[in-house]
Amino acid sequence: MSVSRPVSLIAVTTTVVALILSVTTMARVLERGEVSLRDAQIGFVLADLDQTIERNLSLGLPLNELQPIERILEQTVANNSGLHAIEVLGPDGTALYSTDRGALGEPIPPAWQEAINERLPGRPWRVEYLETVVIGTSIENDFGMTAGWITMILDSSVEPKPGHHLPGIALRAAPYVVLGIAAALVLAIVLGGRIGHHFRQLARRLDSQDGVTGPGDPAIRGLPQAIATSNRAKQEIDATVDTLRRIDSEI
Amino acid sequence: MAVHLSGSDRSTRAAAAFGFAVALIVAAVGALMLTTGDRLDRSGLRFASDEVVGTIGHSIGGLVSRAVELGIPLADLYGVDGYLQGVIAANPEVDGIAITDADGKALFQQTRRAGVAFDATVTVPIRRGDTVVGQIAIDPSYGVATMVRLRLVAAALAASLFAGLLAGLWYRIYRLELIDLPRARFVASSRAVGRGGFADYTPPPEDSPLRPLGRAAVRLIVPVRRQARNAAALADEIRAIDVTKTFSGRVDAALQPLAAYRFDHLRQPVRRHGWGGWMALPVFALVEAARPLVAGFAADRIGTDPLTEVAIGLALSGDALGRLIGVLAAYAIALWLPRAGVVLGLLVAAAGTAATFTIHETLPFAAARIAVGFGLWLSAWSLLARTGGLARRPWQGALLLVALWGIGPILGGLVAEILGRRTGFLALGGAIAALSAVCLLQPYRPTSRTVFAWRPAAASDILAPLIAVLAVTAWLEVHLSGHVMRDNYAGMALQFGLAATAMTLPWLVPTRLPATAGAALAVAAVWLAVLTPAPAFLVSPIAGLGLGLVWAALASRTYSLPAATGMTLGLLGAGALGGASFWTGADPLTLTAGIATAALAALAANALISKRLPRSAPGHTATGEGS
Repeated sequence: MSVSRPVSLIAVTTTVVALILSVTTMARVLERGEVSLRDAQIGFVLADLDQTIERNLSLGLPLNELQPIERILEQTVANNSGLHAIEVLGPDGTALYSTDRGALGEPIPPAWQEAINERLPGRPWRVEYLETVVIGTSIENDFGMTAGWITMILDSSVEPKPGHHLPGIALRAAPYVVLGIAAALVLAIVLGGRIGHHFRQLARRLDSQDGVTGPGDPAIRGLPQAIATSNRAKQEIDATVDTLRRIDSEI
Repeated sequence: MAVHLSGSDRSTRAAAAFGFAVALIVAAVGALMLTTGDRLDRSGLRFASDEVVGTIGHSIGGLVSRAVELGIPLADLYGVDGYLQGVIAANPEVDGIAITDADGKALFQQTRRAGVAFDATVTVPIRRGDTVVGQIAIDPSYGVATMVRLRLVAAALAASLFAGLLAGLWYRIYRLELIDLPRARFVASSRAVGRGGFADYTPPPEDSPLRPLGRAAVRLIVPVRRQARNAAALADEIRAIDVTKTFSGRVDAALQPLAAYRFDHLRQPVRRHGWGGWMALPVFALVEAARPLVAGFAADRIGTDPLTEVAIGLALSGDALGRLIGVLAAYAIALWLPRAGVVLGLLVAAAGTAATFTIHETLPFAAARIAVGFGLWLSAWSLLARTGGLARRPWQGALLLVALWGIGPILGGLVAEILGRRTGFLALGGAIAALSAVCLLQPYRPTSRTVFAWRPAAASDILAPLIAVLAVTAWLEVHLSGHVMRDNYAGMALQFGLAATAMTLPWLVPTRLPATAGAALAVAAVWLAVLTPAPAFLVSPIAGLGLGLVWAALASRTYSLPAATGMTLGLLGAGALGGASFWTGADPLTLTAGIATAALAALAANALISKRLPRSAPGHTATGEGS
């Protein structure tokens, strides 16, 4: 078996695995960056609306009598691409205000209610529902009681699909990856070739019984004595065989 | 004759150079990707950042427009500076906001940092009816784009360190099994021939580069053996027909010179299969791959800030507790059921890791970590007890430690970045379970039963690994993973990679420093982080180097029960001190640095005292240090 083969296996496998990890991680990091920016945008809009509504509640106005809210909701939808609609829900889940007129007075779908029930304290809840992404947060009054909910309904296209950057980055990385694998292969072939050549040369020196003395590979340290003993043994055995043949001829 | 042993310095240096070359290749590919053509970190992220900032501008513009429509002049708006400052503080993507009049003169302006130039790239008009009366100008920070750039670099570097360590380790195992050990056997055989022993020649394995040399050796000794067989056959023939024993004296005399040689075959062939434990190595590495995720995951189970320390402490302490129980269980069953111990331990670790996918609370997570710690150490110590491989060959042990502490966590960090943390746990658990089956098929040659003996150990055998593991865990896991880099898995992969790379360095030099020096270096790294704003990429390698020095100094004693206990207690201590900071109010890293320094002082005092006392155990090293 050529020495280059196992060394190539090591070099190429590790290079390929590492490059796959590197390229895939880069794609995911970019996606996370996009998600992070989208979350920042949505988070700001939600917090801004939440503050506006809670300031009005602090003035003593009930949630279902905040008429200027509708105009703010419409402006917000107009200023944010990908935002389909915003709804303000009462504590029972009925839509009190919505940029989608048809939703007014309607109860929320069970999937939304489930997401509300499972939300982590102090964090927005989120659910994917009928080609949309719905993100909501609670509206709290001055006593920390939940007075209702704000929900933002986004087009699902604003949610980056997992892995959507990967094909592009993989394509871009392909020539470099090929170059890297080729470099690893060359490294392994050179290294394996040197190791193989080294031991083949030692074998030739052992065959010729020349050049096995002095410093060198530790493998040959025992060889001078072995060669000397072999040669001596060969001579002694030859002498023994000669003697035995003489005896044999005498019988 | 150390040159013939498995710890050949030449192979160690060759493996390091090979790993370095592979790491350079992977790093070069990463650098080419990040610097040529359209830069990845700018693709769409700056546009998206401008959109976020535009949303903020529209919100402020709407608010100001409503005030202006009520008749308040733009220049006379009240409380604007405080409001703008609040918006900047709440939105990292904004570095500065200005409100200008229609002529562009700034009426109000706030920036994140005083003295930094205001460079507005996003503007939103302020309208009263259809008339533009001013504009909101915003200076974006592009913080996410910067963060993405740093993470891309971290991912590329972590992948290159992963490749370098994996290639170096794998190549070292290749050289160990197919060059170093066959060479040692070849030298032993050639010396045996030199002494006249033509019988016990062991040829190198088929796939060893030494095979041609082995064939040459065969060509040297086979004619001798053939001639010896001829002589023996001839002598037998003469004896058979010499019924009167007339020639027996002369035959014996002729054969006399050959009495100095041995030509008979070995009754049992020498077994040359590699160490079965190598197959367990990738599985152990996968179990430890979750390390960069544990503290952060534990911290995120708790919403309240001070309690996060308790959650992290419970997870790490649970892991350590599991390990202690695992060692005891291995002690109880490994000698009778070694293979079962290895596989059962790995399956328990796989279940604990994968189960994390479904866990949402602190205590169940701590329980899962107990299972993982228990499974890993039951498995590892069952393997050790059965084969004695690591205790007998420290180099193999060094490779195991690098795989556990370096390659595994880098892989775990990158997997978490790709799949997400929760799914990452599931994927790792599945991979561990799948690979555990491979371990079941491996031969585990019993070679030693002494590994569990609690021999009289020097204090440094226990305390040095304890202190070093305490320092490294507190820095990498409690501080970085639990707090600073909780969601930055690529960054965590890089930090673990830097520490692991530094861990390997002590094996590349012939000199061995005392274990105490290594522990002191690891503690110094923590102090460096506490007292100075030293960057993490400087602290992690120093801490890793300290731990590597301890392992290199203890050598085979690293795989003895005292050192294992020390390492486990170090992990337990890191978790406990993290939790204790909840009650003391002290910073966990500072608390750890203080306690570790006190332990270090105790260790130094013990070394001084033991030097003055007469040695009670002849032949036992008082300090227990050195290789």
